[in-house]
Amino acid sequence: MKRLMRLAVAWFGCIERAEVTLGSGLNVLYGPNDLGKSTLAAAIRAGLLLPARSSYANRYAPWRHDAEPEVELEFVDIEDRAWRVKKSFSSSGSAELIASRDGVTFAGDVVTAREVDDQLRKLLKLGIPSPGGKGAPRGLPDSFLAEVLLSDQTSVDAVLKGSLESDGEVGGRVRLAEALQAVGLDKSLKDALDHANAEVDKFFAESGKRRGGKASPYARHKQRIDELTRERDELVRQRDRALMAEELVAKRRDEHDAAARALEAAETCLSQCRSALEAWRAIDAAEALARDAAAVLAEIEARAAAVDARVGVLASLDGRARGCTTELEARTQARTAAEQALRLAEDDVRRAADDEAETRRELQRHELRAKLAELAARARDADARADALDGLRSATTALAAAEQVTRELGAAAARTEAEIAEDRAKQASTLDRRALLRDVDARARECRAATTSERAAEEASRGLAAREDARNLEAGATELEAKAPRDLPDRAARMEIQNLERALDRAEAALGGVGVTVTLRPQRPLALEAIVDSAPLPRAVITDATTLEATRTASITIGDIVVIDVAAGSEEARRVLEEARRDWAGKGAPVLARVGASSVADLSAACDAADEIAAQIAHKRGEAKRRIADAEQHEARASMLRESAARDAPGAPPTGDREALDRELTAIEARGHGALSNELGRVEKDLIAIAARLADNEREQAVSRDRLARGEVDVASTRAALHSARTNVGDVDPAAAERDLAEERDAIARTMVTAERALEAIDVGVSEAKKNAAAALTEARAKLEARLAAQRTAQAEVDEARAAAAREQGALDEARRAIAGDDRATARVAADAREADAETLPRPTGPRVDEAALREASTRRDDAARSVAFASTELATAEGASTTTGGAAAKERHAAIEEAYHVACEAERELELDADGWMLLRDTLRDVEREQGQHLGRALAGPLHARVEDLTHGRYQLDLGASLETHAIDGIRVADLDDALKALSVGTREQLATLLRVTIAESLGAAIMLDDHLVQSDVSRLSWFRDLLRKAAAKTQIIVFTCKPDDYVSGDDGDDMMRAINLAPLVKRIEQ
Amino acid sequence: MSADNTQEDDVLRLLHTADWHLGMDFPSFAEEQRRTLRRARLEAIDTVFLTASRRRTDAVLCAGDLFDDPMPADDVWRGLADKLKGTDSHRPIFLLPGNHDPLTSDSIWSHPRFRAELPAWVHVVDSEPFEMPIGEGAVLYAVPCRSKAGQSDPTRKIPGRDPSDKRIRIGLVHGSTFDMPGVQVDFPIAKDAAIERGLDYLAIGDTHGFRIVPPERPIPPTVYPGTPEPTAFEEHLPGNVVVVGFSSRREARVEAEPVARFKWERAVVTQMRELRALAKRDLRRAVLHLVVELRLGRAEYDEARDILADLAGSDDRAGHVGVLELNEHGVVLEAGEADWAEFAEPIRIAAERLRALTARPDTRAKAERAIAHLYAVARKSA
Repeated sequence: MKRLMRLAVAWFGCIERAEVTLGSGLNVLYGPNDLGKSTLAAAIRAGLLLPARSSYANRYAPWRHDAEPEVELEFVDIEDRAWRVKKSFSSSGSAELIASRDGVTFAGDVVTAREVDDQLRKLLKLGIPSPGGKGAPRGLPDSFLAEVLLSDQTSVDAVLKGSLESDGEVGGRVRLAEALQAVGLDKSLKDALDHANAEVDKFFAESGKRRGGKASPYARHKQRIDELTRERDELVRQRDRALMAEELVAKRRDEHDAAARALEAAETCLSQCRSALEAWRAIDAAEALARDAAAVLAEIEARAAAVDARVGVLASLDGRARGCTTELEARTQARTAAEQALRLAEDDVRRAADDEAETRRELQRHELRAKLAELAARARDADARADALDGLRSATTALAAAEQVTRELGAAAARTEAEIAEDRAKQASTLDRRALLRDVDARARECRAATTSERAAEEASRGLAAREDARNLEAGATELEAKAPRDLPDRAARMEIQNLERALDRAEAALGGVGVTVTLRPQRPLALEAIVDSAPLPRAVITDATTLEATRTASITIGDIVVIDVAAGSEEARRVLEEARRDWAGKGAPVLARVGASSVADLSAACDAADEIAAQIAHKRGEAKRRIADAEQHEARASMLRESAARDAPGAPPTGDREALDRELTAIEARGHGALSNELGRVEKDLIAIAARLADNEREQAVSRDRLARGEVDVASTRAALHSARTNVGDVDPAAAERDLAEERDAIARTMVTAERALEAIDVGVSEAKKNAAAALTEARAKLEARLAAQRTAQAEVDEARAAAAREQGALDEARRAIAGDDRATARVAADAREADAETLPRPTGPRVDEAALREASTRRDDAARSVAFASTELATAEGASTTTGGAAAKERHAAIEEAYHVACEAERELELDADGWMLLRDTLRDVEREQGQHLGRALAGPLHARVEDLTHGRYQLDLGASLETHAIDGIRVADLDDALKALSVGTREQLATLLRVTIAESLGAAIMLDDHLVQSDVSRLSWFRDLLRKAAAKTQIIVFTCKPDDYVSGDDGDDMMRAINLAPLVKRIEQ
Repeated sequence: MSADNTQEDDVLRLLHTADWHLGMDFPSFAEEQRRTLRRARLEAIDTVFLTASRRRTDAVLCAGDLFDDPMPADDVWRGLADKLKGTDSHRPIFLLPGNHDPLTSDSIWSHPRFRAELPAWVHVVDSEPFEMPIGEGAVLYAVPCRSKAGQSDPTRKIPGRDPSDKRIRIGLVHGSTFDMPGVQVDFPIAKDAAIERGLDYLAIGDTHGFRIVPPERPIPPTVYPGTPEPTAFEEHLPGNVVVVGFSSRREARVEAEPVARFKWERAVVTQMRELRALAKRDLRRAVLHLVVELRLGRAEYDEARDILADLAGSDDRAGHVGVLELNEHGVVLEAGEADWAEFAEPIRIAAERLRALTARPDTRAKAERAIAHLYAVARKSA
């Protein structure tokens, strides 16, 4: 209960009716003895603590009246809620508890019966268990706090001997512990806890969650992080866009480069194809030439072989002819013998026949034989003519063939001639071109040499200038060195001097603001010299009182009598200053004096200037070294350029017009770097090729000429043979002649048969004798005929052999004539040379290249060129797109924002760690506080001990335990509490008890009721208590029942917090 | 030769600068520091023009990225315009749009009020090819960036030298000579562009450090002057302009001259003596990224805290460092029982319990932070 507002009693003990309205602060309810003050106090206790139907209330039954005691209280609980409790005590008593929303009218929910006390005990938190439950008290419920706040005047020892330990419910202990934590803590713990609480409140809401919103400490960081996140996201987009554009450009560039490389490869391939094709063509031409030469050689060798063969055949034919001749001779001899035998036989026949007949026959025979001889001669003539016709036919055919060969050779020779002429013309023009190019080359070398010489001269000049610069720089450095101040302290010494000055400044500053006033009252005129705060004052003669005001120091010299040093500030500060001054005088001032500086700033400036000069010297020397290095580089370059110029200079000056050469050179170089040397090389190659081709053609021409000559010889000889054959045949148609000759030969053969038959008929009719002779003759004739036939056969064979030999001889002669012009050795050399030429030509690597491959390579080159064009367009498009991005600027900005973002996140993390640190600190301090606060005696010791000490002048002290049990009374040397209490006077006991009660009530902010508690106290302690109660009343309501109001109220009292209430008119006692 | 190393017989002398990045934001720094750094960039321009005047240069070439953004804030471009108006009228100044501030219809270079503010001797390279004589014996060819990114070499748009042209030919472009395989760059510039285009000096911008490209070929020079005021910690040789003098032989002599206000530096302190040494340095012109990782007993912890407070400053007291980016969360108090002896028992108990929690990995960070809080509060209370 925080405050009791109203008390109404009816039929309670000795009181019939009473009603008292109470105020805040101190309420002194006074009245004479036996008015019923203690009854009113009992009514308050009963109204708050006693159940309506408790038998304990029987003692409050009105005297000699049959009425139920009634009590009505209006009070404010510790949470400032107003309540009214009304109880009517009896075995069937009633109770009612009503809350008020405005503190004036009680119209809230009504609690009745037993629930009233249950609710009341929860509201009062006096450590009394709920009624009816386990441990619930019987009779008037009691607890340590109930004793403290509501006890009657007989309960002095109960307070000092009691404790919270025996309470049936912990609510009182909890309430007191909570209350005492606020008043009983160590100050530093309290400060730390307050600080930690404040910091935690800044960071965390009551729910324990981190605070949000604009007022949150995180808000600034969060806002910054949000801003940076937004900007970062945007920049990431820009950066990614830039990167994508760059990647696209890189990709397009790679594609372009790849296409360019492919084009280059395709062009190389095409060029190689062309070269290979040309090489193959050259090889083919050379091999064709070689084959032709080989064919010529083979032909010559075949012809030679044919001649050799014909020689063999002729030899064979000659042998055969000789054999046939031998045979003919033998047969001729046999015929001669047969003729001899025939003549003998004829002689015999003739002898056997008459001479006349015989003569006729003989004549006939003779005629027939003559005819036969003539026919044989004609047959031989026909054979000769047939041979002549054969010769004519052969000669005609041979002539046609020879003429055909000659024509072909002539055409080939003409072609070769034309090629030679063409090659010679080409060779002449190429030689002219080579001469021009050599002149142009000489001119180019001349120009290069001149340019290089100029550059060499320029480099040499630069080298000289650089050396001159270096000398100037070195001179400048030396000049600066001469000017540079010396003996300046180094950096460490300067730092030490600056530290000394700072120490002096700090020491002087430590005295600053203290101030000192020195007043001089001269008894006679005095010469005064003074230095105030290190500043000398003008010397003066003083006659009157003179005051010197100094902030730190004053030094006063009065003539030669005395020097007075006055220093302000603490001794320690002055000692430090003196020490600083000594240090300064010993280490700092001499350096300044030596350098001639008036202050450290001057010294620093001088040192900075010296450093600057040193830097300039170093810079000049470094620059001089660089210039010398430059000069050496220039000189080296000049030397190299001169050598290069010497190398470039042409062996002989150009012979042509230089302007024309320059134009030609410009035109050639316009085609690209190296065009001149390329063309010169190409011309040289052309010349070699032309010379080779020309030599080939000339060799070919010689061969052709030989062959033509031989062909012409063949034609001539063939023509001679034809002419001879024609001469032999005559001027006839060979075909008709052959036909006539055949008919003639047939007629001769027929005539010869007829003649031979006629001859045989002549011989028919010869007599038997003659028959024998005739038979012999016939036989002889037959033999002769056989011999003749054999002879003819042999003759024919001889003729045939001779004809064959002659033919062969003719052919051999012809063949010999044909090979007469053959130069086998030359042909072999030519064939070998051609073959060697063909073999020496370089073979292109790889498969054979033909026109189709060249076309394919050309197509590939064109495709690659188109790819390059496409890639160039794509690259240009990508590069154009990249210009719309943020580029490097976006990336740099992104990097800066990224760093800022990380810094902000780090700051937020640190803030969170700060907050967590505060939270942890607060929780730790709370734990310590709680543990400290759980010892209620220690917690209460703060406010209580001071009061006890003041009251008893330090004689006694209460030693309270954790549950506020009094362990001992310090100042009384007895171990037992009872003995200690007995050792105290009753007044002191009740004063100590009252002091403890008031202090506890004050800590709780709860109303306390004191019923004549200081009846045994003396005036001085009553006065002390009056003051105490008035002070305590500022925090809590105190209700005092007394019969001596003057103990609490003084006449001049105008305190608003105190109210003196005379109970006499308010209390109606029951009539006796 | 004069005292400032200037060749008196130079026939032409130029100041070459680039990459001012005015209006750059420095988002990782605190707002006040960002203001300081932004202001320093604008102030560096004063030093640039003072150098141009002191070295008696004939012209100033500004090779792109003069603004960090195509359309900078009004105070940025007005600040530059005011400074340009204060320069010598006889010294032409050429402003080249770079990839950060390309020449587009909505960029600062097309801003009528900005253009109206520029004095007559300030020339914006807003055409191509841009050709303008400098004096009688020299000519400037410049090519602006027209987009933030591009893959074409801007020097390709500079005409080649006619053999009869004996003037000093100077190129001014913005792009990159960085040609690592596989790395794509904007506006790539061939390393031999100066030779190919017949230039005696090729002034370029983009890289923030002073660099001659390629380093082994000093003539004709292709030069990055770098940014006059650093923009980041990892830049190599920033903070310079280049003064280039030409001899009568058209030979360029290149000289880098420092102009920066701030020097950027990273430091990680893991030893108390390093922190003490840092405290003794003059860091007023430093942008310092300082990471402190110290586990200290109470005495050194107090000292470290005092030093860091001096370095950082406070609302009513300037710090000792020009711009300090401080990460001091690694400063951990490892106070033993004796260090807490002077405090009340509850504080000692709390400290002991927190100390026990530092042995557990899951609570270590929180407990160390809580100990720091407790120590600060208890020390203040005491």
